[in-house]
Parts: sequence; C-alpha cells; structure tokens
Amino acid sequence: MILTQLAEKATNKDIRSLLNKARAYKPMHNLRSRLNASLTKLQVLERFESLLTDCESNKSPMSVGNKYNILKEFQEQIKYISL
Amino acid sequence: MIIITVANQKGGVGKSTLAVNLAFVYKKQGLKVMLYDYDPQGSINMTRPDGLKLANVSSVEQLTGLKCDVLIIDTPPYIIDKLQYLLSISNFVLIPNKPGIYEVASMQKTAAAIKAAQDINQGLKAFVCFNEVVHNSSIKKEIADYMKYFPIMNTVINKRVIYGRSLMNGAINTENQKAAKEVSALASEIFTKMI
Repeated sequence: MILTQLAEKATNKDIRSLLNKARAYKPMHNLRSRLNASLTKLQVLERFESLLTDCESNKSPMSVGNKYNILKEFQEQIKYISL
Repeated sequence: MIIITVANQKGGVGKSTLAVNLAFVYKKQGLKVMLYDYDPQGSINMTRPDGLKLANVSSVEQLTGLKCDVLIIDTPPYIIDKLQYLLSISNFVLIPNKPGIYEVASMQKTAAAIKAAQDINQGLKAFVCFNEVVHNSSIKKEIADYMKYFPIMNTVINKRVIYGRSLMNGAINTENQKAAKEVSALASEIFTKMI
C-alpha cells in the first residue's frame, strides 16, 4: 500500500535517492539503472522490498547500518508524500 | 531518530535482555544508540552494560530531544500510565513473548494498549518476537496459530545460556556465533519491518 503510494507520488529522483542508499548491497546494485528502462517505479520498489525482505537469508546479508540509511531515507520520503 | 520500545505486560519474557542485546548490535554497526530503562526494576540501570549509553532524562517527554540514531526503551512488566506516550513517540514496538499458550493469552492488555496507540500513531509497527524458544522444536508454529493480536517476527531467539551471561557486553560480542547471528538478524529484521 505504502509502496503504491510512493510509486505514485515520488519522483524518479526520489526513488533513485532511495536506491542509492542500497547500492552497496550487491543484489540491489543494478536496480537504479533499471528504473524506467525495464521496470516501472512500482516494479522497482516491489523488487526493492522483496530483496530487502530476503536479504537476511543471503550469504552476504545487507549490513544493519546500510539498512538504517535506507530506513531513514524511506521515512523522509514517506513524510514528504504524506504532507 | 528511530525509537524502538520493548513492551509486554508479562514479566520474565526477556524484555530487558533483548533491549540490551539489540542495543549492542546497533552499536556494533556504528549507530549511535541510547537505552532508556523505564522499568522500576531497573535491570538495565543496575547492570550498566559496558559502553552503552543510558538516556538520562528527568521525564519521558524529553526523550524525543535526545541526539542518537536509535533509542531503545525498556518498559516494566505491567501497564504504566506513560506507556501510551512512549508508544505514541515510537516507530516500532517489539513484544517479546515465550511460545506458550498462557503467555499468548496474557497479552490482551498489552495488545489493547498498543492498538490504542496505533490509532493515534498510525506509523507504529508492532511485532511479536518469540523468545527462549527450544531449539528445533515446532512450538513456534503451533503457538503462532493462537497469536491473533500482532504479526510475528521471522527471527526467533532461542533459549541459550549465553544471553544470561552476556548482559554486560551483548551476545554479538561473544564467541557464540549462533546467538550473535540471531540477535543480528532480529535487529536487521526490525528495520526491514519499518520499511
């Protein structure tokens, strides 16, 4: 629900900014370049969410610090779109 | 600042132990962490875990003014007047519980308090975490069917002696890799659940 709203209201720049925070995590590395190339904003965010959920079971999981940066950016954007 | 409150009206479910262990994980990841012990038992204030910063405020209303990345609030094993306020400023409430029918049944008041807080603070996420689970048992799955109040964290904290032994330095800083792995997974999953 939130992702759908985010995809509707956030700009490409906002979503790139969110994906930038996740760039250090290898499975998300190329997600930014796929935005509007092969995937829509919503598809990118859905992929983002799914990778984030599965990352604990990955052999090299995303660091908690990296996840914190994503969370902060996400909260900023949610605050912005709900205004 | 991300505020995580650890709450359950039932005593002995591991609230303080989990609060301290989560704080150590976040600290090890380079985040500025503070712990606030609102429990009059004062388990955390008494033990003063090594290197963890305890929030020193004269009233709970000052908590939002603290300068840190993550604030973890430990609450007492009963419903307190200020619980509503603490939940209203929180991003996440972690409800540790042992996987037992009585433990699940005793969550009614905690659940009501959290649901009431969620009406005001709509961004508040609440999850149950099964704690002290006997390794390789199917009890979590069996009890999960009775847990109607809140969703359950995927990460389970198993029953391990190390948690009792490591209150001063956190399981993440011990050589017990299994304990370190599960508290790290819990800390990480909490962030995921907020996204």
